[in-house]
Amino acid sequence: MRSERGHTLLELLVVVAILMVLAAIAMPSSSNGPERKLDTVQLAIQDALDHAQSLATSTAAVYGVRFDAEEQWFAVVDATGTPVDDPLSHKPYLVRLLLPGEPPDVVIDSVDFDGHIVAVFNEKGVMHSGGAVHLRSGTTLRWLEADTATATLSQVDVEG
Amino acid sequence: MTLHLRTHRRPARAGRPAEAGWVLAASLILATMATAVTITYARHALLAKHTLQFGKGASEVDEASRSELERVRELMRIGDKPGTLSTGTHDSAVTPTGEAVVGEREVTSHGKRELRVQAQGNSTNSTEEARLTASSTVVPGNKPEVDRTTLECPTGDVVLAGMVTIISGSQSYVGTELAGFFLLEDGAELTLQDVILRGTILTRNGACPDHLPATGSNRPQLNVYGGLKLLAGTELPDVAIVAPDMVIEADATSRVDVQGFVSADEVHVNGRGSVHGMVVHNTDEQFGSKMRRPGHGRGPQAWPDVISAGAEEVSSLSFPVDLVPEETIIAMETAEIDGG
Repeated sequence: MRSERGHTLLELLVVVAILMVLAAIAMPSSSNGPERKLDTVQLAIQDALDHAQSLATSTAAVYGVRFDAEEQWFAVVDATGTPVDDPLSHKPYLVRLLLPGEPPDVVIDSVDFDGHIVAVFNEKGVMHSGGAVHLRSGTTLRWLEADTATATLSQVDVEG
Repeated sequence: MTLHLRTHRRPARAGRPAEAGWVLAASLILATMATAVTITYARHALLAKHTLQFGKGASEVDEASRSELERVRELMRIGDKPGTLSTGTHDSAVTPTGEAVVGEREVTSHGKRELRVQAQGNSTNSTEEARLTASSTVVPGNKPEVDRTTLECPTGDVVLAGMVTIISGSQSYVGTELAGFFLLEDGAELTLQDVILRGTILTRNGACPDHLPATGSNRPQLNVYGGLKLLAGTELPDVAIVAPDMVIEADATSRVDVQGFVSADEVHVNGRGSVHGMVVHNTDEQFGSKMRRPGHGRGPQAWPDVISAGAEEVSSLSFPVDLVPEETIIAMETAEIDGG
């Protein structure tokens, strides 16, 4: 008898909620622009460079930031290539740009630090050489150059 | 009395009017689209937080406020003479990522300044704000301005901020604690025995890159006996000795602990102790077997091509940095990383 009176409000809300969840999963993000995503990754890379430089200066040892454009991650490593611990999380300082099964928001296109994929700081905290990191979010490219003296990343305008 | 139980039976529903169904469908679609956008944004923000370690506090506004604090400090350093800054000097800028930053400094006492910084940025759907407050000590702090010494160089003068002791003949210090710059003129000789020195030892050639280096017996000389603890001071951080034409002699009984960059013409340290920092020299280096040089790991370095003497002080040294062996770099980029 009850079913003949149509849908209850609760039923409608459940249907709406299910539809919202399905739509959220299916819909690509439209509120997070590529520039914003690139800014975020640039800041994360700068953080890693700053941390490596700080470690090199304070411990008088070689540290660096290693990039992997294939697996899409970067990590702060010591002279043996072992990732150091993140001072906050106490886990390896390894930042992934990809989540399993997720489309990439930002990818590392290429890395070149004097022919290497690692930005190295010597025992005095000075960069072994400057370098460039190319990022991409969708069709938006961002070319970053690391200054040898300050280890600061800056954007480079690229034609086309 | 007869009770008639009557059952009210509703007539069978004749079906929802067609237009009512369309209204319901349209409402559902609109509500779905509106909420989907909101949830998608929140979802991506959460994913980004997980992926990129937002817990490190690396938001644009935080970065902007920190960089503005550095900027205000730098402006204070190169601005008015210490102790004469006016209250409430403002500085404002807009960062490349669009954050508006404002900084100001206030004189709280003769040698203290309070720096306040505010950064504001407009993200997609909210306004973020970050504030920083810091206290800063003016160099030379509570010392009078006469501690700023102008050195006459062949081209352009150099101003040393902080205490400067100029040594032109022979000078000895025994069992004492010293601070500031010690400038050795050509031919000067400084002898330190059981001394703690918080500062930097310079020669005229080290302070003025265009002053020709002294040669032969006219070279300034630093003699060390007993203990010497040389800690780079705040005036020239991390720089202990800038003396490319100086001879450093420490005898076999000396105990030397140097923390900071060292440059000299000849270095003979035969005692025990440690030198933290790069050592560059022109002609000769001799470190005793009991001298530790943590983090050194390099052979002799050539004297840098350029000493940059800023308007305020000897502010920077530049030198070749091709110091990390190629095999170390290759090891760093080829090591297996768990989960990498």
